[in-house]
Amino acid sequence: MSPILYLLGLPILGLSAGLCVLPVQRNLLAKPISFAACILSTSGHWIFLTIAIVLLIIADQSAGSLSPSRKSHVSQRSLSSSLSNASIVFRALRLRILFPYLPALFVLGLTSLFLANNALSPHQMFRAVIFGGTLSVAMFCAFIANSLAVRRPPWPWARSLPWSAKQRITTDALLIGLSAIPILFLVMLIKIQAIWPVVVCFPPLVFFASLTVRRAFEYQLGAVWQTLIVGTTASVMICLVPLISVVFLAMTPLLMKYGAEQEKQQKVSRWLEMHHLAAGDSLSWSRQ
Amino acid sequence: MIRFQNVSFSYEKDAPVLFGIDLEFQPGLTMLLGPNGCGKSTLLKLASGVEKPDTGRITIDGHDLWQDEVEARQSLAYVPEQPDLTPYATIREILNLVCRLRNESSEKGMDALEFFGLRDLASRTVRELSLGQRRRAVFAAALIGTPRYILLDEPLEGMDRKIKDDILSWIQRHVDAGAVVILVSHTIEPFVDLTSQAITIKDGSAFLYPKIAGNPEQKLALLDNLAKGII
Repeated sequence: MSPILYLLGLPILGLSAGLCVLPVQRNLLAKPISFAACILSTSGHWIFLTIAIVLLIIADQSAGSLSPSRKSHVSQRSLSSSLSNASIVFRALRLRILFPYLPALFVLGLTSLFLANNALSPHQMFRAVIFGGTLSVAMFCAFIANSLAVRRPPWPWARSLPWSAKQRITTDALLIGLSAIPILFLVMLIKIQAIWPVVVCFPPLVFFASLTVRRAFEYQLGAVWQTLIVGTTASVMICLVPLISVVFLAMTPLLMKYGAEQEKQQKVSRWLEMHHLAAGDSLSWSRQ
Repeated sequence: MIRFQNVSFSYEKDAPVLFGIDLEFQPGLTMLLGPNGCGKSTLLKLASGVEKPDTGRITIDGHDLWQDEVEARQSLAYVPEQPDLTPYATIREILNLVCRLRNESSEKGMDALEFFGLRDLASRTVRELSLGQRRRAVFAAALIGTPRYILLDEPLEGMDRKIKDDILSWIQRHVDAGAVVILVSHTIEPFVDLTSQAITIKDGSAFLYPKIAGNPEQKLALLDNLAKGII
């Protein structure tokens, strides 16, 4: 396995990912094939890379022409509203956005020390970096999700605006995901060959973290522990069998759907309705 | 038309606030009346999509509020009693968000702020505003676009006299244009002439008075009784 093959896989990944999201005439046929090409293009092996190229050509040929986007104006609107929402979230977090990098960097530091102080075979190094990389991403997601839950609690009125629960969940996931990209670069610097399972399991982790923001207030430890438990379990499993990351990736739409359902089910005005505005009641904050 | 079909809702388990609600809100002004804590604001939150019913469904123009979320909320404007705006956003950011979601230019947002005398405060965050200013900011958001479903919870509370008059004429304009306006207010008098139907809530059930007719004194007497919980 050579780093050059990973670099060669990048344009294939870009093209097949593009085909995955573009609205085409034969979506049902083209999308699974281009998705398979996406996965294979990250393998770093010339046989898989060749198969990925063949699959990409098949997907492109079978896709047909681009179908007119029904909701292009809706997508544009949702993108710009997501940006507006992101700017509000960044204002809420400010420098606190840096705090989740600390535990993630700590894990990556430990991974580097482990690699530097042990005589490991390339295979063992590969597994160790997968474990450390996935765990550091999970750490980052857990802590940033908690910061989001604390600094940007549910905003009841915003739920009356024309955007969907899925959109709100995805916006948070994008925000968490974009902030976690530096961690992925660091994992790549440690061992580039080990990046693909971490990248493949990245979307489900990010969506899971976005989901826990909605459930943070149900638990004493907020949003942290749920993502940590799931992230640690995922790290161990992917370290043992890297291909399991593809199974996790396949769960992303389910996590998105479940997250949207959680977002809908929140009783956002419960606290206010149960306690009203306890003006003049000095014990109001200690009420249960 | 906003339609409630067998809607039930509770904040805590085994303590239903509303149950088995079947209602249709027709164009015109509907007053939601009843004593404190009977569930008027909760009904408004359910109609606006802030809270999701435990059972039953709510449709706006035939779109399910929790299935076709975007379509159902497209022409909806909700002004809550408590202006629960996210504290770290500036007024400009909130209005920009609303403009983008309603497909309106951001100038519309600034015009709405101008209307409520908040233009100079646009770059302030919500936590730097007084309660009255926050309420005006939420109302400014309601002015953006051409809402056909307007849900107002105590719209005149905390507003100065000029803005009260402006709000009343804004409501009048929308009622005349055929909008569905649902209003919760303990101040009944300013809305008596505009009211076409009334709803009161007692023990979690809603009672609809579809045609409020008669002279203003008779209408006021009926609405006053409903507000006191006398059915």
